[in-house]
Amino acid sequence: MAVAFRLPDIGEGVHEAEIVRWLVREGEQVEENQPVLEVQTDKAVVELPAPTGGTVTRLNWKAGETVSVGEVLYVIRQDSANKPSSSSLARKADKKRVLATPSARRLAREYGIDLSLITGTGRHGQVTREDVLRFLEEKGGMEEHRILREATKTKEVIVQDLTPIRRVIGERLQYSVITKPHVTHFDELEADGLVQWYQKQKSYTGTDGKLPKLTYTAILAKLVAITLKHYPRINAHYDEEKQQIRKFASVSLGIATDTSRGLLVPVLRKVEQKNMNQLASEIHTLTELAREGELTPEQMRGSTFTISNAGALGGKWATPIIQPPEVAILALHPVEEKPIVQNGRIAAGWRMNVSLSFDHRVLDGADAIRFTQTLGKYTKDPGLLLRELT
Amino acid sequence: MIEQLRRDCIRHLSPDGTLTETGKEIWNRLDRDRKKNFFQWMTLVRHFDRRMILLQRQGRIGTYAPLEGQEAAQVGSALALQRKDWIFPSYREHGVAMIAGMPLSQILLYWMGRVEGCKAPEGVRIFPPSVPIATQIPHAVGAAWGFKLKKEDGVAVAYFGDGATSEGDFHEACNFAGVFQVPVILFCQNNGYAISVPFSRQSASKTVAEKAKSYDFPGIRVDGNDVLAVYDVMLQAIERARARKGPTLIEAVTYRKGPHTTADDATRYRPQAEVNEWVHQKDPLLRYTRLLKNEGLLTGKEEKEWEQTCKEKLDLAIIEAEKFPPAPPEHLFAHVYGNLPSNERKQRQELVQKRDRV
Repeated sequence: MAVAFRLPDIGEGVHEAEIVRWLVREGEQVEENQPVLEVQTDKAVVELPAPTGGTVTRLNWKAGETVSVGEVLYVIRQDSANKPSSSSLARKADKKRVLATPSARRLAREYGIDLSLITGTGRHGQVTREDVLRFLEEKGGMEEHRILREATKTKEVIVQDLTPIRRVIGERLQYSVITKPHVTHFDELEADGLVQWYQKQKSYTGTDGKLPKLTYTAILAKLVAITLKHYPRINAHYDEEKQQIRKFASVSLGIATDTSRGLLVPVLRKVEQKNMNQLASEIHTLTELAREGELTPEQMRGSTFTISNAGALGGKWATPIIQPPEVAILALHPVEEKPIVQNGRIAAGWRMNVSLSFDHRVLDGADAIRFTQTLGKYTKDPGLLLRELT
Repeated sequence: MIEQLRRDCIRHLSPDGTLTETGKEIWNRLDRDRKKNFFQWMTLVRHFDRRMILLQRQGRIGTYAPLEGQEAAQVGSALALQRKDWIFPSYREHGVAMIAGMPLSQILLYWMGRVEGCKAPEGVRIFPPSVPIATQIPHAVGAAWGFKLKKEDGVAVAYFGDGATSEGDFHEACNFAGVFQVPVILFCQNNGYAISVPFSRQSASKTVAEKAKSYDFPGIRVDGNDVLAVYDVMLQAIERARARKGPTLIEAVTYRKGPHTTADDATRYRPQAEVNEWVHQKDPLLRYTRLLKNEGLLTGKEEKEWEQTCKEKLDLAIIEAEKFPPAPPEHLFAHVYGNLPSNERKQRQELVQKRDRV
């Protein structure tokens, strides 16, 4: 009878393990409870003993591979008489499984050293961590590390840990890129109306001079919020576990902000209900707080859509990464005067590039195109906003 | 000098297998069967423990809490108890459970995640293992109070580790036990680590035993790897309890050889030199086997024979536990609520429907 040995959950709630090495070969005889392989989980390195005696007929994985719990690791054929013959005992003695402490094993593995090459000084000739270190020193296994250490001393190489904030940013980005199928749609929007209107408004601070100065970001935040009202599927979260989309009535707009500490995203709430003056002053406050490093976690939580305004920095296009659980992010590029063709002649016109990344599980290319085209209508003629007044 | 006295342990059997002066006295009072008993139980417990780890690595039981190294503390204390006494164990007390009369196959079932492994057979007075730390200590004190109110001469024992003494439940239980003078024994196996936290990081007291002083009952520190000393101390505590003289706290100083459970790696938090000292020099079974051999009560052949018997007992228990019919999925819902809330009822229904479709 053949017995398939499946990877058990050897920790508490372990999902996978890496094969460290096989202690037997295909075709070899094993006894019940004889260690067959070593695996490493996130918590420990453990040996997995055979559930029965017999001949190992198949090893399904190679050392270094990661296996999910429940997968068949190897197959044993139970022999009719399951008693180990003298020859198999002799073979076993031959194989010489090296005695070593777990910490020594781990270290040897890190440096890719065969433990059988090391002379153990521990009890019963067990290889200890110290033995491995000594071996490394002797064989120059630390060479690479030594070179790096030297280079660091002379400042040819500067080694720096990621700051905690960069680590968090990094983990979130990685999660998003791995789990969300990203597609980025590029569009060039007509912006003549936007520029004219902005030029007229930018120095106006009200009759009493108390109104905040309008910025492109504030105006665009409003235009985006109005556009999102037409496309509620984009102002949404995606619940990975339940595979559900949650559409939001109100727009909470993440404003990606470049700071010396890294990219921070404060959240502007109820954008659709606020006028541009309010938006301008709130954005001003939030970006200041972000640059000072004084944002509270609450001020960075709960956005439903994010914009990243790179207009002041330059650039043409980008492939922004979506902030989970959101389903899209819009990068806004510089508003520039460009040569355009009008009635067969070349003329100057104001244009703004946008890049919209979206989660293709939730949205399609057509949704993205409709969204940026609608936004384009507003940038071409902000007067259309009058029609949206309630 | 005072510090030294305070930390001294009662010891009858030295690690090299020789009896101390007090030990000789105790030894002469013990009958031959009892002397052999200690060895037989400790050997069975150790074989059971090693086998359980293999079963866990083969995916045949769930996460398991190994006890190797603590055999003397468990066997010595449990053998001093009688059938009328109640035991409230933690999750590492497999040795105590066996001696109390829990069949091996049922202990296995518990670690296979089966509720059937919790219920002791009629007449076996042991509670299911308490996994939440220290919660069983007030239970034991309550049971002891019951003995007192009913004027019965039973004793209740709570088994717990050093980590449990950092919990409120431990102190509340001690306080109650002291005030009401109940016949309880608080048996702490101090193995030095609450998972990975050394005792020195849990408590400013140097010992567990001295904590009893605050509650005005005796606290005794005993070499937990000396089965004779543990047995002797436990007998004295039981005698006190039956004589209505109140509670006793026993600190059995011991060491677990392996990890906290099969899910962690003890080499990451314990110095290798410390492990070597306990494992190679203070082993409880080794020192007792040496004594028996020196006294001419055990031959190498008898030792081998008993090990073979242990293996066979375990083989049988494993077969018995593994042929137990699998739990129906509805069991998930069976033992928490008397009346299932509506959402759980719905989930159960969905589960049953899914199963029936398959």
